[in-house]
Amino acid sequence: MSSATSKRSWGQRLFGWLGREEAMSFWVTVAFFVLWELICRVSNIPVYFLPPPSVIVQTGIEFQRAIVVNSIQTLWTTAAGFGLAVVFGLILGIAIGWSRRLYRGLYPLMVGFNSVPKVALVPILVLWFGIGTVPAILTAFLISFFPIVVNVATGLATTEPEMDDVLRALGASKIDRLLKVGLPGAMPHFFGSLKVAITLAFVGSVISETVAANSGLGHMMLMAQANFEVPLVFAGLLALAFEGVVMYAIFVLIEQRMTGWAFRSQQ
Amino acid sequence: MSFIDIQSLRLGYGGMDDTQLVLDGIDLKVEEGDFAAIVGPSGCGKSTFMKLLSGLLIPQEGSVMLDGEPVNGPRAQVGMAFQNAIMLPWRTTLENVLLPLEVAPATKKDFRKRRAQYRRRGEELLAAVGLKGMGDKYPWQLSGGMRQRASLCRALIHEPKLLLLDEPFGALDAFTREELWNVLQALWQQQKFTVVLVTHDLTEAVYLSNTVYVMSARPGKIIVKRDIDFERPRTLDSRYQPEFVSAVHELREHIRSARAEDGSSSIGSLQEASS
Repeated sequence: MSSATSKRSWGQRLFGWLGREEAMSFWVTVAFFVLWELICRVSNIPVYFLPPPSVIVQTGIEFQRAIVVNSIQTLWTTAAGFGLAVVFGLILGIAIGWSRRLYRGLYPLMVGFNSVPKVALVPILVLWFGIGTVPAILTAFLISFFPIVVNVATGLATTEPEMDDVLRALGASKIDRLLKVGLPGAMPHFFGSLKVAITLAFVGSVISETVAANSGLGHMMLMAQANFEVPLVFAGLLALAFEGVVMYAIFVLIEQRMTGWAFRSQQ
Repeated sequence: MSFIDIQSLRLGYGGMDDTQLVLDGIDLKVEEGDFAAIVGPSGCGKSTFMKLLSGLLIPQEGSVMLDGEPVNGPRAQVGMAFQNAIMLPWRTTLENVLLPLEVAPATKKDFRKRRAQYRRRGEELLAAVGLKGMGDKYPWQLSGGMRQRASLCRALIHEPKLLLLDEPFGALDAFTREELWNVLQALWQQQKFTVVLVTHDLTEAVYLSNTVYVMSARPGKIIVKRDIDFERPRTLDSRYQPEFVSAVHELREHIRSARAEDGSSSIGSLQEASS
């Protein structure tokens, strides 16, 4: 098989890939932007209303320094907030998965916190920490924390009762049952939740930047909008979407690496 | 005193009135190294009974004595296997088999020190049930029958004095089930642990055990004790001998009457007639 494929040229292989099911994501994305471009050109929509992708890309190149600098700012606030969410989400998730009393006690409060739209918290965070990076990090943290807690706790709660019986009958301690069975079994839930959490963290930091910051992609887009630089607003939007996709993809890879057994055992 | 000695055991979930009572006045003695089977209509409290023997449940009335001591909590001298082989999918088969040694307080420390030695013991046990060299495979790479074999190994790895089997072969196809009967019989003859097997399958009960107990519908009581003294090792052909057939037949009659006492059994007996 390997000799047959190696004889084919790089171009032939790429061409072959483009016809396969996995290439659908590529084709649909390309079609989306082509359609967008066509609609803008054919119907003469003014650039300040909806710029075509070609104009957005041109503007992006023109302002690449601003986009890169602000992207880095947004990425690191997102990463910091997400990191906090992973640490505290794991701790709280294990705690409420461990003790039914803690679960009962904390759940209503947590649902309450989660129901509050995080944008409503930004003014309070600004009041406490001033305009800038800290409110962005905290918003990212608050918004991405909950799915991690819930997933870790659910993962721990779904341990097979018979497995638990086997271990309890052996006299295994609760901590051993957690370390050997509960936590490894909860890992697919945990890594699955990271995909959701990282995108939410991104949303959180951008929200905060849009409301109260002096840097970051959210802030840049707000400034561009104020200056009526509509293509730059869209360039910021595309940069956001691109970064979101990349981060999501990274966590899909991490998930498959860490808990590949969960995917294989379903086959 | 017998190895397992249960006297006037009663147990209810929540309370002791008619609707909550699960086991009602069980007396049972099993000698060390013996093989007992418990059969009964579904819902008669067989699984509850297993939990009592393993110390996961404490009886409200009566006593459960194991090896001369009252059972008042989990103790590591029990090994368990269930209908569902439940293995941890992130561990290899051998690592699954060794799990009890890693967590049981008696062997935990020793296991860390002499891992290689224990691994060898695990591999030998796997070979004994026909899984030689399969220790490095993951559970999803094994068939249902292989997983059940591995689950037997896990139940026996810490050399328990008592093996509790809760319908361990119920989910397997007929041929695999018969193969595993012989695997279990051979292991038992070799290692002489005590076995309590809960099953729905009367042929299985007669084939494997020295004594079959029939339980009534809920609340469970033991209504019949039938000794089975056919020669060992029993072979699959021995199932067709007249004594074997009549033993199964006799037990079937007891089960039928146990079900008839239960109010909801009219549909059940119809099913039985058609099967």
